[in-house]
Amino acid sequence: MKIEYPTPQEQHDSIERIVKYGLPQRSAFAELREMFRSLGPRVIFYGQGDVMFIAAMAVAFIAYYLVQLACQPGIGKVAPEYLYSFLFTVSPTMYLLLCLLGFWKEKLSTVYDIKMTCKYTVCHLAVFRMLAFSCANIVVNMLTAGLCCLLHLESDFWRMFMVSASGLFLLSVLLIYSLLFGRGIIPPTVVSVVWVPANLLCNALAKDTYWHFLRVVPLPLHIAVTAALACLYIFGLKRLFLRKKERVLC
Amino acid sequence: MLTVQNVTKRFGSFTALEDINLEFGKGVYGLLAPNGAGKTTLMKMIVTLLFPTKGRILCDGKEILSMGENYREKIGYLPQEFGYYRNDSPRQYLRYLGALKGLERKAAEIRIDRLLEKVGLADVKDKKMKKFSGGMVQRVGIAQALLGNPEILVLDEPTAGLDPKERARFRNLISELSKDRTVILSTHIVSDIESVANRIVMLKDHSVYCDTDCSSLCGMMGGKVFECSVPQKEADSFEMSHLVISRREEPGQTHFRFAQDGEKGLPPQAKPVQPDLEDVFLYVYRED
Ligand SMILES: Nc1ncnc2c1ncn2[C@@H]1O[C@H](COP(=O)(O)OP(=O)(O)OP(=O)(O)O)[C@@H](O)[C@H]1O
Ligand SMILES: [Mg+2]
Repeated sequence: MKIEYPTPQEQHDSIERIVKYGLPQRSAFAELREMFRSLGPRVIFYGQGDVMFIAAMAVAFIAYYLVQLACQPGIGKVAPEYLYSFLFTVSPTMYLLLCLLGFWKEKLSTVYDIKMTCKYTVCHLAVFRMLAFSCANIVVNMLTAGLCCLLHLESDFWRMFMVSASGLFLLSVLLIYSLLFGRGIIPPTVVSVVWVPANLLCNALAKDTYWHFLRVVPLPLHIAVTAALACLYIFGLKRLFLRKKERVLC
Repeated sequence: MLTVQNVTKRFGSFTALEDINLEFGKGVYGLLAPNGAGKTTLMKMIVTLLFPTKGRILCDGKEILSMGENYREKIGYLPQEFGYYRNDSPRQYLRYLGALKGLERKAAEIRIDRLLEKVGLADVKDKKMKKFSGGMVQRVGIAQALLGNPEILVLDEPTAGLDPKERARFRNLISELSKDRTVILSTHIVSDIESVANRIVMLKDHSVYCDTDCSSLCGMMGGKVFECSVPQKEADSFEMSHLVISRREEPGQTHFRFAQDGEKGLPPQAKPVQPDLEDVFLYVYRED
């Protein structure tokens, strides 16, 4: 009896197939963890010190503004619609500054080309940082909502928190998809620059709808919308992590 | 083994490279072409900074873009415009890149010391790079490309700004490295390629003009390069009517080195000479 022996090419292909389907696929999350373990925070946030300082200043300024607002004579002078649209618009400020200034720093630094050919590229670093900055921003939002309660500006902590979280994730989604589908970092810059005017405009033109979304919509629905935005954002980050386009972030 | 298959690169409507086919095995490959011919574009595609508009690039039979970090771990790249952090010392800078390249910390430390030694920067390894001269910065760039002990080394004009002694040191380093890896380098300094490259790739009109070794390239020009001296009065008209490679003024007369197909109109005093790579370059890229 004669058994046909597989050619080297066939052997090679079979091995590839077995490895591909047999081994568990590493999730993006596992890769992020591996990256953090290998690089550590010092490398991931390398050269971001000045950017972080600017963002911290902005946050301090917003807190100071809220305190000022509360110290005005006559309790309850601040209309809740003003407070909510303020929170919605201003809550992503820290995230926005951190990301955008970080992108520009990366673009203007001439090390971009080299970093793009390393194992961990500018994209990997950016994804990690964006994720970390979102988390930090959520914590800041929580503190801001708490501060508003403490100052008796408004008592509904969870709604204030959810409004700022939805503001954050809406902007994050706009930022990441403008980065993924636009050319370079001009589109995210445009998104960031028009964020505040666009909100003011919405507030002026469609006051009822805007207000309805921020204040009247039941909290669970609000949470659902925010969660959907967050998923969309994570999905976008995953795409950036895999980079299927040349000159991302450049 | 790196294979470039039918690669075309367009920037908008401008075609920088058209249908490039090349194979890179072990050894030193010199990319030789005039300014704007597309050397940097080709190299950027090899290191996945640019994606081909058409065609593909394979590493051991696998498409490099789909290999992701498995491919990036194999390459070392020196860009034409080398970027660095001005306030870092070479050691800090290389440490940072070593981490990004996924090197283990201790191993990286040892390798950094060895590399800085090799490029002759051992005594300034803790000095800020903003105090460095152009050539010193360039040598940090060379060290950086070698950091991950790459199988494929892509160097875009690595000798720019180096003095003759450092160029010689660089050539030796490259010869030593090329035993078991692929080195692709571009330069305008013909003598760098001449002594070190096993193969020379020339680009012309957005395509590969030739891909051979140095001696057969020079052989192509055999019997086409001449030298002669002409009285100074006739020098200018001689220059107009011949493809002059170099011109040197001597007392009372002018010495020319020129290229010419066939013997027609050859001055009687002209002597054929051994062509070198520079003659080839000037002949291939002559303006008609
Ligand atoms: N991003 C880009 N957009 C549009 N055109 C480009 C771009 N990059 C390069 N080119 C064009 O492609 C051509 C090849 O450029 P490339 O930088 O590859 O040349 P080169 O051979 O490296 O030249 P040099 O010797 O001067 O470094 C040039 O004509 C250049 O104008
Ligand atoms: Mg170039």
